[in-house]
Amino acid sequence: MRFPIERYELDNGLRVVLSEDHSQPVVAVNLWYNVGSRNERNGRTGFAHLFEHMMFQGSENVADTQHIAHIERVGGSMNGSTWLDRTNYFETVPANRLELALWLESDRMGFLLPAMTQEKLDNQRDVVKNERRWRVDNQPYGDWDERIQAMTYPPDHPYHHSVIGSMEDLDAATLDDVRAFFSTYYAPNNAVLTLCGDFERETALEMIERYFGGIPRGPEPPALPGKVVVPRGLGGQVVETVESDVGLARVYVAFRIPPYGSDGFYAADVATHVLTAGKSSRLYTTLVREQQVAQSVVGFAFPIVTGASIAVFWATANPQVSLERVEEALWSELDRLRLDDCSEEEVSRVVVGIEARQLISLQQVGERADQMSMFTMLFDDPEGINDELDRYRGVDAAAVREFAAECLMAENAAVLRYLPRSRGEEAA
Amino acid sequence: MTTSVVDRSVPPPPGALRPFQFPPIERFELASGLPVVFSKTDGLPVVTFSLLLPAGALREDWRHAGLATLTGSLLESGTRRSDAAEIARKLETLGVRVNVGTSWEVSHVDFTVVPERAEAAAQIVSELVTESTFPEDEVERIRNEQLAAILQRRAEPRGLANEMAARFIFASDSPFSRPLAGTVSTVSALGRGDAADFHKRAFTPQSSTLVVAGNVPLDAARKSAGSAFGAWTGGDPVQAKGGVAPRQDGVHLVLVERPGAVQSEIRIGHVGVPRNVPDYFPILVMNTILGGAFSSRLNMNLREKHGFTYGVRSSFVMRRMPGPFIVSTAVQTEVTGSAVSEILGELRRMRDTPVAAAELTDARQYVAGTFPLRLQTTDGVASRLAELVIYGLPDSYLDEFAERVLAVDEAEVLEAAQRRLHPDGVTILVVGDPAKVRPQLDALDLGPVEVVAASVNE
Repeated sequence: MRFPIERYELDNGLRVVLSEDHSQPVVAVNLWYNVGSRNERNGRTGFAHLFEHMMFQGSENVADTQHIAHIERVGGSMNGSTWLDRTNYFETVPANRLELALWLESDRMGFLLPAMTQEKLDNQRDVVKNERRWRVDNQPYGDWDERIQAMTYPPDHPYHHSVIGSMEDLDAATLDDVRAFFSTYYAPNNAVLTLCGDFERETALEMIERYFGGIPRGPEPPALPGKVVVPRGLGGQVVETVESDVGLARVYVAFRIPPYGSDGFYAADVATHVLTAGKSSRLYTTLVREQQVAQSVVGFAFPIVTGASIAVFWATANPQVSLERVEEALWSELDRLRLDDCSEEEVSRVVVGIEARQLISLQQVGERADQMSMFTMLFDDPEGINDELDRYRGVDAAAVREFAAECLMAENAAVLRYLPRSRGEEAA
Repeated sequence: MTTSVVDRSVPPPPGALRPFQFPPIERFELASGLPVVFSKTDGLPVVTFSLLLPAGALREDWRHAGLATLTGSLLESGTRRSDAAEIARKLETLGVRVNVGTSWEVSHVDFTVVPERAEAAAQIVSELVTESTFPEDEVERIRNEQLAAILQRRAEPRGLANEMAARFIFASDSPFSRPLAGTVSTVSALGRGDAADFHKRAFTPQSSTLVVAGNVPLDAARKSAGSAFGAWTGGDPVQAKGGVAPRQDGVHLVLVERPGAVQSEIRIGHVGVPRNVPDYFPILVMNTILGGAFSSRLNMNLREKHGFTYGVRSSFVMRRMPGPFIVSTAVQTEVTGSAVSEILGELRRMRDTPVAAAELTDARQYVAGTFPLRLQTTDGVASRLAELVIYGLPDSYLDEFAERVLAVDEAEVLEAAQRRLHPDGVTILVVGDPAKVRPQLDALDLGPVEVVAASVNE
């Protein structure tokens, strides 16, 4: 099965992807901007995400708080998100409200700055700091990804710091930063616009041209800060141990792996699934069901493209079980994958599972639109949504072992341990 | 292409409405007596099966709190034909993950699969439901997992706040006062015999319903369902127990100690309404205005005006019996008292003044318009069909939903607020740093603050 895809480009460089589907009277509008936390400079970690919040604070023709209200009052859903490589904005609206969504998105792409005020910035800074407290600082294991990124990438790599950023850097952000960031990164030639769902091509193209065509092309964005290329291995094991308010001890083990889009990445992702996807996976079978040292195991490969990606595994120790025992069992499974071929049956089961979950998630036009934007932005190829499963089907047991042998070594691992804070240290 | 001039100063008008219709609902019965509710969808080639069983936590014995959850979790642990490892392998070979969920009312066993594998998957799932053997070692393992999950929830401020809020909103002999998955003491005492017995009495085609939604013909759904569940037998299910009462009258402040916390998890609520409440639609619209959408009053106030929080929501959790009405948020520790005051102020404002016409229109359209968005997936359609089954709603409910929502008027919203919101009878529960939060709660002058340890009574 293939989704129909048409691709256009406006004179100002805006890439447009259209995919019609008339089975439901809804349409998804999705924008990817080629800017994420990887673009942030020293002293401004978290800024790409803070800026994303500012995009919801109105623009020249959209009053404060009205961007979201416009979507909600027509029965739409919307959001935005910031990640390492990109920032996306998306809404799914009733089919007859497509024009409203395009008006809103084009107004903030072209005419954001007249609406920016210090008061709005201070308000959203407070909101984002509370988001950080909520996700990270007041949450057991909440800083794991921040720590793993810092352990896995050198300080001059764009992935060294987290998307949410530090409180100090959030405090330091100014209105001038907002203006500069907008002028540098928020331009049609640095974005992809995807429509997926119930619309007619001619009408949609006319609307897109009308709302976005007049927005001027921006300058070429600057190169990423820091040094993107890193060796495959860490060149030695990196270990951190954290005592905090967690209920159960947990270990995270992370490795640098080939970037998303490469053949090596698909082998890495299949390997990760062999180890952790579902109750027939190796780590679940050994650590959770047979040895019962872990309460749960999780693993995944980040689909990120800058230099190297990460595969991370974590296991939460059962009460009364030492983390050392959990780690020992984890390493013996990683070693087994490095030393012996897994069976073709395991690989094919993993691929069947990936196919099924992809199909299930793509039922939603919003998910489909997001992937089309992603493949266009990262690989200049919206058809990736139709072709990617073939990349997975191309992975065999030998490729999995080859990946494991190259990447999953103890001497190349970042190992992060969380231990429950001992009772005696609790504050009075 | 040329650049045309566009008037950006006003939002563009809507295009012609493309109406949404819920797919037709078909009902049939299998030879076993199991009723099947089916809807054919138009989307991608997948189909969701959801078996609803009279095995919710309300049917378990008090002393066995957590037994319904445990029994559900054990379905993949072994059958007369396969052990746990074989079950996992067989299901995953079909690309299927089974989701077993236990609520107060039902247990549901769900999976989504491509049509050509539907019959094979349904047969394996029927084996799980009808031939489970509850092997001793697996019972012990899954029980330990359930105990570990209780520990993890206690260490996590949101889970802890939700659990504690339920305990302090409902009377201690109301089942909703206790955690759905039980407590350390009740779960520790559960054994193989309890699970096998509960399974025998609650996993029966009597009072069960199979929901099927997907892009498959009726005949195919009938064939898969029949080959899986057509010969299933069982007796009358065990009855649901318990009633609902509030823990106390008046305002009650509770501080759950989490020393050093940089944020306070706040829950403010009281006993709410059952799902079959006559003013269901006015309540839905009223709550949307109060705290049910991003643009709601609570969120505009606490987040967009004050920057106290990343977000705040209010909801009426509706069950066959009244669930809680609850406002949930997390705010930075220093503004805990102010946030509580603002929330109480918004509850009062809902009751004291009629909503503005524009607010009402926006909320109605939001509720009516977002309804179809959740029906893009077979799982979403199945959830709606399950709602009909669990709460005994007529099929026409789904077709009339938008119309009923859009008909709610200003007087009905005010009446719903006055009847259903009780700011003078709320439990105000905070999980936070006692040293910093206690003085703020005292200063509210709403009464004494009951301070409890996170581990109290487990």
